[in-house]
Amino acid sequence: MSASLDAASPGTAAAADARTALVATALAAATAKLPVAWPITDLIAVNPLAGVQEHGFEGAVAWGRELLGLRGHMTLAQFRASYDAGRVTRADLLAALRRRHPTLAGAGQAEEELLSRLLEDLDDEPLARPVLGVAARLDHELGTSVAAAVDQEVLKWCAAFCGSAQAAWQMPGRERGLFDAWRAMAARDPGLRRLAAPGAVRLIPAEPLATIEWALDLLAVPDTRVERELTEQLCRTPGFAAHFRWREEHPELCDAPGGIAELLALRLSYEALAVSRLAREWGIALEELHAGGEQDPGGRAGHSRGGAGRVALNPQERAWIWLDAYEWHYRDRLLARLACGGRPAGAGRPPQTDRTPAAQAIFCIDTRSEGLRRALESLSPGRWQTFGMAGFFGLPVVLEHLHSAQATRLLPGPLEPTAVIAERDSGAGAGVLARRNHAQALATAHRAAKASALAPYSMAEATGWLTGTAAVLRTLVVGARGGQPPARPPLELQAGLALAEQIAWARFTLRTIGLTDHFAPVILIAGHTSLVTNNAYRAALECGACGGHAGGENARLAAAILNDPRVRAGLREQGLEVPEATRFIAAEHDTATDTVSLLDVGDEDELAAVRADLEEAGAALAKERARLLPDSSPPRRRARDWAQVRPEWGLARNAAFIVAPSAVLSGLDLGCRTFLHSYEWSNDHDGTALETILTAPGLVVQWISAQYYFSSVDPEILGAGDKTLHNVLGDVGVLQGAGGDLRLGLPWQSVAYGEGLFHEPMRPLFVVQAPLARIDRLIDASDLLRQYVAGGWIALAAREAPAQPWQLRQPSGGWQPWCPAETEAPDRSR
Amino acid sequence: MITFAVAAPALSLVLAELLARRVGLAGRICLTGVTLAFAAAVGLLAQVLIGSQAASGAGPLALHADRLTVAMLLLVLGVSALAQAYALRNLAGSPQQRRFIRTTALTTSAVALTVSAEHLLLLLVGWELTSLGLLAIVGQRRELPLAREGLGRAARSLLLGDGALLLAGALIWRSAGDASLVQLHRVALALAHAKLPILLGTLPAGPCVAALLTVAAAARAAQLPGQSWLAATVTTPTPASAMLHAGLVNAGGFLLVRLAPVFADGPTGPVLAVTIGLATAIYGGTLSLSRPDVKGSLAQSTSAQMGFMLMACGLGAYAAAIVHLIGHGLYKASAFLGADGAVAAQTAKRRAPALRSDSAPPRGTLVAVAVLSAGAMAAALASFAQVALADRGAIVPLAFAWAAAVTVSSGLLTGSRLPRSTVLILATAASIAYAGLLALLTAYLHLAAGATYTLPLTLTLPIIALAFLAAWTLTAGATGLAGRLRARLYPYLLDRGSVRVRPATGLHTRAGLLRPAEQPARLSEQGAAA
Repeated sequence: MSASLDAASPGTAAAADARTALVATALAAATAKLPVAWPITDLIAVNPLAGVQEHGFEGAVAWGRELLGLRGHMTLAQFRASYDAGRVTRADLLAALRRRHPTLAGAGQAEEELLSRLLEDLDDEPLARPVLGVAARLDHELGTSVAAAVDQEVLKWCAAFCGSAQAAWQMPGRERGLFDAWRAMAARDPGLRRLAAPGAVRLIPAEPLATIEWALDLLAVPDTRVERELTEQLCRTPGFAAHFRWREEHPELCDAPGGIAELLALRLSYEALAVSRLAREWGIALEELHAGGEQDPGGRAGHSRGGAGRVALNPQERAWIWLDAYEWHYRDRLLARLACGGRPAGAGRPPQTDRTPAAQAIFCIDTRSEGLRRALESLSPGRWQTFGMAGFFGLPVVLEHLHSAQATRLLPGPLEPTAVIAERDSGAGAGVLARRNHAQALATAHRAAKASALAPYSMAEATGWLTGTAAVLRTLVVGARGGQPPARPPLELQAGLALAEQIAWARFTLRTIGLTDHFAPVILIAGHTSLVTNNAYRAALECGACGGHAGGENARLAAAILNDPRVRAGLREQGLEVPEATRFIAAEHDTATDTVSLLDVGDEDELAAVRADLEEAGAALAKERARLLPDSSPPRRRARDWAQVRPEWGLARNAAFIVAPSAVLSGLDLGCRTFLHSYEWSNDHDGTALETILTAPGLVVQWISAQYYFSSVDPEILGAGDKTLHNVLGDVGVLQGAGGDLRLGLPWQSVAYGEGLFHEPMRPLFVVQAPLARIDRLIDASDLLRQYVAGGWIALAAREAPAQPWQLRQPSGGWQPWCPAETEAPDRSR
Repeated sequence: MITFAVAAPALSLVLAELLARRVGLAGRICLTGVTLAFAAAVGLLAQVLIGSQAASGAGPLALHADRLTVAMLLLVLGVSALAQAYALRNLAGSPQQRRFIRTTALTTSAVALTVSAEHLLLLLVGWELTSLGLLAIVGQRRELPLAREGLGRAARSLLLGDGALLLAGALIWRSAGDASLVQLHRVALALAHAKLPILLGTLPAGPCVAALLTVAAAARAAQLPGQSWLAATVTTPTPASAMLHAGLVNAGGFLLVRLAPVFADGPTGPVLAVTIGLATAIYGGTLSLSRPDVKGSLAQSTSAQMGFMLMACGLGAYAAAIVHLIGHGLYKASAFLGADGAVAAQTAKRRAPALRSDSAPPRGTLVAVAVLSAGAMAAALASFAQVALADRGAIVPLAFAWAAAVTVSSGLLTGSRLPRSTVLILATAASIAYAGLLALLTAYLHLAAGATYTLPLTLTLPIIALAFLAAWTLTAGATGLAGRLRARLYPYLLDRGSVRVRPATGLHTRAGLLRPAEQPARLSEQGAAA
């Protein structure tokens, strides 16, 4: 007997090792598919389906449907309503039909039939709630609800671990990580006692990975299903899973360790113990369950494209045709207007001349900058010239606060900081420090009182009279914004960005955006912020390129570098002459009120005209935005209103990304819907700048677009749902009401009013003015761009010069001239 | 005027339903209605201050406004106006906005009716209407499972409490015949002599009624053992939560104060109230500390605060209970309405200057704060604030106020670079101000509760002190014995504080899951095939 054991053990050991390796690989693969959710204090837009983006847009949605229950597009009824409203025309639909089914060309009869089916048949594909995980499949068979019970235990512990910033009593042992802390307490957890057999808790291994493997064995998950099973388990609580994926990617930003493995180990411990108990009581062999429940993941993805004239239009395919038509209706109009941009178009603003403008300004690519740039440029011909670039101005920095141990990352999510800047307590810094000290004293005292067993009673009683009065005043008399914002502490560059790097940055930046001559005496570098109150989603309104924070500090650093005589001298050596008289001034655009404050300047007379212009342009833009906001409350009042769930529309309705010289835009009102990046390809000899623009700001554009898209079409799964129910959890996010999963995406109020969408969920159109061959080369070289273009995540239109027609990049490669739907008569075949 | 104050919120809703097709306009009409009602309550305040009482009608349907009524009206109508004004913008465009307007307007009138009733019958009617209103407010989003869970728990708790109250009403009716609230002593007297035949023996009616009233108050105030419903009702829009926590759950305190002659005719009511209140204050307070979500923590804290209020009622500190009820209502309303600011507070924490290395508060200064504020409070109570001690039980809230002053000072000394003298002055001033506030409201309320039974403080004070001392030890440190104890308690607290949705279908229980006899056909076939 011992001999046979000895003989068996090497093989068993090898099998066990293989299983361990398999589980590790499956874990990595399952993790990579998850969305990444940044904490709400640093909320950065992400594409929730970025993990499966290589499957293309439609494939990713199919994945999301199977695992998350996504719809992934507007309902057919919503599309039809947009048709009735003229937002989609018959010509758009026909063009979309032909784009998606090229074989149809010429088959007029079939087209008519299909069109009428599109218009009449409005039954969506029914959405089934996905059955995820072993327990859920068992529940499905038995009519029990073990999976939901496991969910609630997992949610309970996740909330405790992640929300510690808010709790007076933290989860004991949390500094050792979620799983370890939980395991130490598991024996006393009433939840585990409800679900598992008595004493079963002792079986749980000590290591997360070992626990996952142990649980998978207990659940009898076959090798072929391991990855699928892990993915399903994670997709039961996509919100926390996405947050833990962020923790895993950014351990340096977390105060406690713990990633996806910990989450899965915790979850599977409950699941395995509960299921094995259930199986024992019922006398079920779990292997049979797996044999019966095998499904081919993604098997239902895609659509059928039949032969000539014979196209099967299932509801999914109908929706994609509608979406295509809906998108190109907008894109056709945009491209048509851009086609004549740069030339005087009737009564619009005149084109830019060779004259040096009185002032120039560099804004963030943010869609909201478009409005302010337009308002400034139309003040008086040629007085203002504006540019756009990512709002961190190419300076990914970390800001150290006065006397604080913590710092704020002012950079796009995927980047690493290259420099550290610090606030100084000299000058205005002293006052700021004193204010923060006092605020902190109050906050600490309030926290101490709340955390004590004795103090809360009288504290509530005594402060109630004050806070109650304040609440009435804040509700009835919404404070008008008072005067200038307080001065900021001086900044100091602490580390990184040596002089040579500064010069290289300055040269690269100015050449990329095309600001190489005709320097105005005043050049603003304007970051943006959104000064709203009592709003958990403020970071979503701030500058995404600055990590969901205000962009003023990056602008201050940029201005300081560009004003540095040593940098100017360095630029001069490289042939870029910035006149002595030119002064760069940092500014911050408050998008909630459309006021622009100038930073690090005094009350100089020479700036009076600039200030007046900014005030006038801002007021005009605020008036324009007020027309789009529901109810009558004016924008500047909304920002200060603590009851307001919609202080501004943010980046709602964003739809396109234009990478071209600023002159292309003159005379155009793009309705705050486009991201604008200035780009002069003739200055960019090797294409580095364009590559950066398309893969960095371009990525951000796609992420923001996807965030708005999915928050609009699947508000309960990839959106944060109704804002008035939100319940802030620690510093990581919100729950909807008393519990449940962490919410992803944006609140419904950010994209809709009432039942009706304000945002138009579309994939972004990238419009690039650059040689097509250069764009082709970049797409070939970049996985990201190839996936974007070939997978239908974006559409791409380009031309080399304003005089040329737009060319559309085909998903399969190659370019075709742009041909708007409206000009094609329905009966004229191409 | 009193009729107007009670009816205006509901009447304005009728007007809004008739006139306003746009929901925003309906909201404005109702806001106007409740604001006018608030103005009427201010008028009533002037009236009661010059000594007269406002009344209308006679018999069981009469309304009257004494000083307690006016205080309650000002709070409830004020909070309702605040929540409605906030909701005008906060719920704009929400499909549930009209639901909120309707339920809030009607519920406001129901509470106003409860506090203005001159007769027990009308009070009961008002109370029951308020219960219905409360459920409607809690169930604003009843299409969500979590909201339904909260609604279900609230309904079960209120059913129990309201059943108890109705039974108490019936007993009073049976024993005393009439039950005018202005002549409750007569009712108490009648109850003292009445016996209830129960099964083989009889029970004295007085203690039964007192116990039933306490149960009713405790159920509404989210007390143990049915404490969990309040935390489960967070799945409702923010302004609805504000209305619930500031204007509805505290009616339990009002009930006991209003019916004090019956509630405290013997030891039964007070002992029960102090026991339940004390237990819930410590339990809810501890749960509140362990909650990681803002609104969950606020809800648990309301439970604890209402426990404190019931405890004050049980101790005979009726004025202090009302002071607490109002102060806490205002505090909690603003805390809910501003709950989204928690994220900004986290961002501010990141910017906040690091604490000094010697972050422990200077012991000497703390002792000075403790001594000086106690002395100042005692001096105030001996001089101008003498009336605050009219109810002897008020010594407990005063002691808590002193403890709070010391705790807050300790926090201020830890966190800031404020001069120590400033903290010292602040703490002393706050102690005097609190004694003054309590005296002012005691004098204003002028509750003639002197004739009621008061628990012997020599017995109750040590119990309360010990219980809170134990809780304080637990909260004071995260290390050592307290830390270990906390770690042991944590899984239990977390579990009790989390809201779980009861599964709709076949829940497995601890005993077993489903009976194998109910095994569905498909699996049996599979099993057979295998």
